[in-house]
Amino acid sequence: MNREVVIKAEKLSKRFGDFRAVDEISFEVYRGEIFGFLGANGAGKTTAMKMLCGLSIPTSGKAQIAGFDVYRQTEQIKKNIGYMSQKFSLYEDLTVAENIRFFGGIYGLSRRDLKIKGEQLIETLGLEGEASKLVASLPLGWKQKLAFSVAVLHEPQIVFLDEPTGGVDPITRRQFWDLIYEAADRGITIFVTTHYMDEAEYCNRLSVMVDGVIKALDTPSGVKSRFGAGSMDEVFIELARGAQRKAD
Amino acid sequence: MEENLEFFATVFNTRVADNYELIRDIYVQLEPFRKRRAGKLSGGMKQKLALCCALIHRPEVLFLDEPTTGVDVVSRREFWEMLKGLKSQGITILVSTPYMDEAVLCDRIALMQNGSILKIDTPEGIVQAFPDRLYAARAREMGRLLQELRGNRLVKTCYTFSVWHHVTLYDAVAPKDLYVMLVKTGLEDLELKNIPASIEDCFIQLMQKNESGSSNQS
Repeated sequence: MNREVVIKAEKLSKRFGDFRAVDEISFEVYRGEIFGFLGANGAGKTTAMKMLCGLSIPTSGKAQIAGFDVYRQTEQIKKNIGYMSQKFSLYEDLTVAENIRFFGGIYGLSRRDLKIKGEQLIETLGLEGEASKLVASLPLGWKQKLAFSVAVLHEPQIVFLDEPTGGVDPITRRQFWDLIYEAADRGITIFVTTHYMDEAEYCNRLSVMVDGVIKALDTPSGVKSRFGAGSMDEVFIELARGAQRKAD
Repeated sequence: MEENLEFFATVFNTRVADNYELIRDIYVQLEPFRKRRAGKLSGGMKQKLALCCALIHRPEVLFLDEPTTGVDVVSRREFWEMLKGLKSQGITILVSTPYMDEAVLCDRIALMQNGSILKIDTPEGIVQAFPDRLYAARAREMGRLLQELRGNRLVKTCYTFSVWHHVTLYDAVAPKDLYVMLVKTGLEDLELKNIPASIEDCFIQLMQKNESGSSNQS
């Protein structure tokens, strides 16, 4: 694997008063890697992700995302990343074409690029017949494909996926991971959170966060052998049982 | 928190004390936060409060719509322990979930797709009715193995299953033939073994059958 570092965090912290939401986390993610960011509810994953996306200024520590500083270059960070979550990714009351135009515009694509890439995307996804339909009317599997494609339309260096498969059926989940692999093959770095432990196995490397701290960071097989565990489920339960904090 | 519980009790024309027995195990975990506003509770605590409020009039049937979506493995286990306790008190629970490991914990399961129920049975019954022979395959390069399997004419279906790929073969195909073909492609550390189907395998099979069935009609 290519060892070019695209995310670098050093003792990155976020405190709210006395509460250490994220407590000195350090890690690197490489270009084209699928990096799983695991942790129990309330462990600090979302807070950490917000800092990495340039949406929240850290209390202390350092981090560079695609070469940009999380304190001073948040706008450049936003242009070089994509973001998708299960909770929010597309506007249901806009059409397919409108969503593409809206998000492409937000990600800074020129009007010309937007037209070309938008049309390409609709063709690749086979959504020609649906372009002027409301997103709300699409089946979940298509919505997800579209949401992911929109998040990488501007060819970001990194795409952040926050529980992209939450509440999704077994087949659609697997189809979604096919998309993740394709994007990683194109050199896009994938930073993904999930509560499905089988998906943790599909990551190149992963970290497990407990109470604001990264407690494990390795390949799936490396993490399992360190804990003498047969499955990621066991690793997770072992680590999360020691947690002091309760849920988000 | 306390006000929420009392409010729901009043709406159902009952008192918290009347059905306290039913919610006691869950409520004791909430008790330290009695005076806190519900909006200031953590996600897990809010979920427990919601469950207490839904139970305060001792319903005969409890409907839970994806109560654990987005919830981590440990909290999900705790939640299902609570459901087990409620079941033992005679409450019927109808719960929807996208997690197949939770489906196994139910007495009976219905699988629904596109508005119709594909199957209703016990977890054991569903697993036993799996129509094909199922194999698990792995090799050093899992990505390439997946491509080889998907492109192989002996293979009927192939899905990723954490560290394995699950494969079904067309009738009369011997697994050994597949093994030999895969070895010839240069895959290293190849393993192929017969395994029993899990609930997830069964649901994938049923959903796929239903999909291809409906697309044939259109």
